[in-house]
Amino acid sequence: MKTIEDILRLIEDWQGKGYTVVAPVRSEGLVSFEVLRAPSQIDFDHVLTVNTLKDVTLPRCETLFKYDVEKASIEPSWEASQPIVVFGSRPCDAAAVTILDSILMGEVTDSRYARRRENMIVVTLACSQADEACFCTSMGYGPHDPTGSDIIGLPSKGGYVFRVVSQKGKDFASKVGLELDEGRADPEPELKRRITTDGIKAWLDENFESPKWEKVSENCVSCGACYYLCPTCHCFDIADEAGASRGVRMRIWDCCSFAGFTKMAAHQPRVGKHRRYRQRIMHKFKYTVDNIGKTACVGDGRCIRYCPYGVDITEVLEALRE
Amino acid sequence: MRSEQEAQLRRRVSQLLEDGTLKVVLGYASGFKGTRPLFVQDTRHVDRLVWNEACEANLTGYLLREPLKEMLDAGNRIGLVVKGCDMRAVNVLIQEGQVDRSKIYLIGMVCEGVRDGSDFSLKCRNCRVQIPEGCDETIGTHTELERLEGNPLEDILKVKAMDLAERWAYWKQELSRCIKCYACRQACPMCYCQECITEKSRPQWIEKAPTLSGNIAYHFIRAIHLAGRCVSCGECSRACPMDIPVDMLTRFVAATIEEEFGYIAGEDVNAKPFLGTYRQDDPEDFIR
Amino acid sequence: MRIETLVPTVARVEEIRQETPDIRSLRLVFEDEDFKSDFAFKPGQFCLISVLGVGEAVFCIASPPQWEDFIEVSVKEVGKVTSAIHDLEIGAKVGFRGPYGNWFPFEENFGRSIVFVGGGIGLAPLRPLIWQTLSKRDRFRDVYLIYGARSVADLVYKDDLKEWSSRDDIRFTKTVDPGGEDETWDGEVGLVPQILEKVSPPSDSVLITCGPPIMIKFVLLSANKLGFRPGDVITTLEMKMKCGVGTCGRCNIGNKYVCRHGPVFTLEEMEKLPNEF
Repeated sequence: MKTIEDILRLIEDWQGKGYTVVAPVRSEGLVSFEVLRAPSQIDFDHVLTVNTLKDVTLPRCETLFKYDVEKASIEPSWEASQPIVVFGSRPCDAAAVTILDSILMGEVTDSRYARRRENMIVVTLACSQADEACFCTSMGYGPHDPTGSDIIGLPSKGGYVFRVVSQKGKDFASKVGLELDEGRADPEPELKRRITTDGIKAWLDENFESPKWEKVSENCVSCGACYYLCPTCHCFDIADEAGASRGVRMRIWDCCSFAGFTKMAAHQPRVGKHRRYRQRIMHKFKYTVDNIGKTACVGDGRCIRYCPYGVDITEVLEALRE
Repeated sequence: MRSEQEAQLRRRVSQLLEDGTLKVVLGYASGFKGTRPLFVQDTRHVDRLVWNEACEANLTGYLLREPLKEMLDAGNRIGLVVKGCDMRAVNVLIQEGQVDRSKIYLIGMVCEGVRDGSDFSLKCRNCRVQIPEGCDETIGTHTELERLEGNPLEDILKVKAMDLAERWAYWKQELSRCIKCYACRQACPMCYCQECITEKSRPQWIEKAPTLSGNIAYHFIRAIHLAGRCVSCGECSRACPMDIPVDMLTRFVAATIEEEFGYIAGEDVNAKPFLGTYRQDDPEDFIR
Repeated sequence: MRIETLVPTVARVEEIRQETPDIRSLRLVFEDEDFKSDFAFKPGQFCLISVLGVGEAVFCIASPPQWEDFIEVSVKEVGKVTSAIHDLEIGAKVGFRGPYGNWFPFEENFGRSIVFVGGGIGLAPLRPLIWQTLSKRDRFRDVYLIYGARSVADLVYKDDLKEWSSRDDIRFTKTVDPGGEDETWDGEVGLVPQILEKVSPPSDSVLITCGPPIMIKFVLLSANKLGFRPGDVITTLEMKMKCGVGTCGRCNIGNKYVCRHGPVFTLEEMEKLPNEF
């Protein structure tokens, strides 16, 4: 078993060995993944960070290339990234990484995402608590689930026991001399929120048109909070942030709840917020299942926690199937 | 008093739906964050309506969004549960010709203050509209109301007291968190432009990317667009998932307008919109 | 070797043709010799053209693969990027990404008759396939082309049309919408679907159509009326696109991404898609 003090020493050691460590940091009321300056910044007590590992793998905005109109030059922009250790992600966020991997490193490889993933090691701290929005067990994961982690630390008597999950984790452990632990983990916390996903895909297969879409999207105000904070949502926009002669082309998160998302000069195929909300549900619980065999939801509950108007995805799924 | 109000609210909504006065009533139900909006069309669901200290949200913005907008356009009359402070937003929408007063039925709730988490909301400090005015009916007794002490501009004064460099650092820190999810805009009852300036591409006025400069441009322009229109309801900050006090910017503009011109947006439904008025004796000393 | 999926290569505008009052064709030559020599595509595929500082937009490649030294795109002025493209002059540099998407069946249709039905700028995606078909003309039975536009001025590729009119191995019928004819007009007057029914090509042919959405809708109805099999009726779909490779998430119709699984779909495939395009 490793105590918190042991862990902080480990992190310091990794930083000393040239790893960039990204971990949950508390700043006023908000806990978010940040590049760690000092190990003491790590917050061990939160349920879940506000942001997700997308901030590492598919950031909210990034420069694709720089251009110069006069010279007609296009210069790809890439900062060779150091190896990054993501420390203290929760199992749901780690699981989400495997979903994005299937989408962005599957039939088509997103080169930027892939390079970041190659350089990223996920050291998860499993959950010793859950809040009322958590529903990972309903999505087939769990508070101690190792999916997507390279190494997982399971809560044990006030500290953590570390186990290797992947080959990448094994290599990392031997490289930094991380000793793995014997010892029993504490029991997993119970989740209050629980739904069964049985029949949801089948209902979606048959009900592209249904009056229920209007009902379940009533409260939605078409902002992007649930999308941007979702660990699996990955839609993006490409835009030039221009100077008169020089500028950059950026990739920027985008969102199917915005009306402009599908709007073309002469045609808008998706009119109305219930149709946009339908796209969100269909994308997660049908289209992604059809295309990669996985549901694009890990039950992290951020969309429930952060929706300003109480749209509750588990309630929606149950209402649809009902 | 609240539980009696809640019971009366449910009774009244039931009657108003049953006798066909209203097609739908928008009020509050219990939700993950205490409460959330509830559209009641069926009298069987009136028991889901709640009235308590968690009814912090200002629901007025829904009048201009789907599905209420379509219902109003189709000639239906719609009920809205409002607090006195929410009435300011309703009044601005009426002033600006966005809402036809005769098409909405306002159920005003006498309010003893709402909470943002464990504390009373800043907007409740020194509240002068605990008894809503201009509603079709008011629910609650008017006696034994206690005005909450304090200054609703407390947060702004704190930032204003900083020196310029500190203040700049403060806003840089806050606004760098913005992910441009536009929850603030979508939550705001006054942000109803058909095409927001952030969506305009010819020319593109505001960077699309949530970089610090793009975020500053967005929030500062939004604050200016809300000059004389912001009713200080705090809905934008309440909606922000990143805990950015964006309402400080719009409320600061509102406070300045009140100080300089004595104009409070939405206080008087018959007043003209602030930027649409001119008086000979308007002060000019702020023009430098 | 290109290191980035979303980074374009530079292409030079070598020639500009004003096709109609609001449509221009650009002939583009790639600057990078390696890219140029590796470049290969099939009719039906599309590309993204960037005007640096303005943005990127999707165009079908409108020239056939056998024209090896350049490609052509035809651009109708409808929005921000297309307006910027219309402002370009010969020698200007643009960004190019592609080719993307699937393509029209070709070898699969050897031995059959082909019916091309185009409207307005919708001739652009058909044009490379028509030229490709004519280059292997002996492998096909009859080849029909029905092409129309709102008016004589709105007909694109006038040189191509002239050549196709003069050839006897393609049965070309041209038409303009009623009122769109002028005194020199020697073609039909009538809407494309009506002319299709009038020409009435054999229903065991393959019908490939592209044009404005409303025209496609009625062409599909006419094809059905004439007895074409839904699997033999082919069109291209257009949705808003950004990445072109199926990751940005906006061009889907149901679980199909138009940029990756399309843009070419048979009517049979379209009938299985949800009605959101």
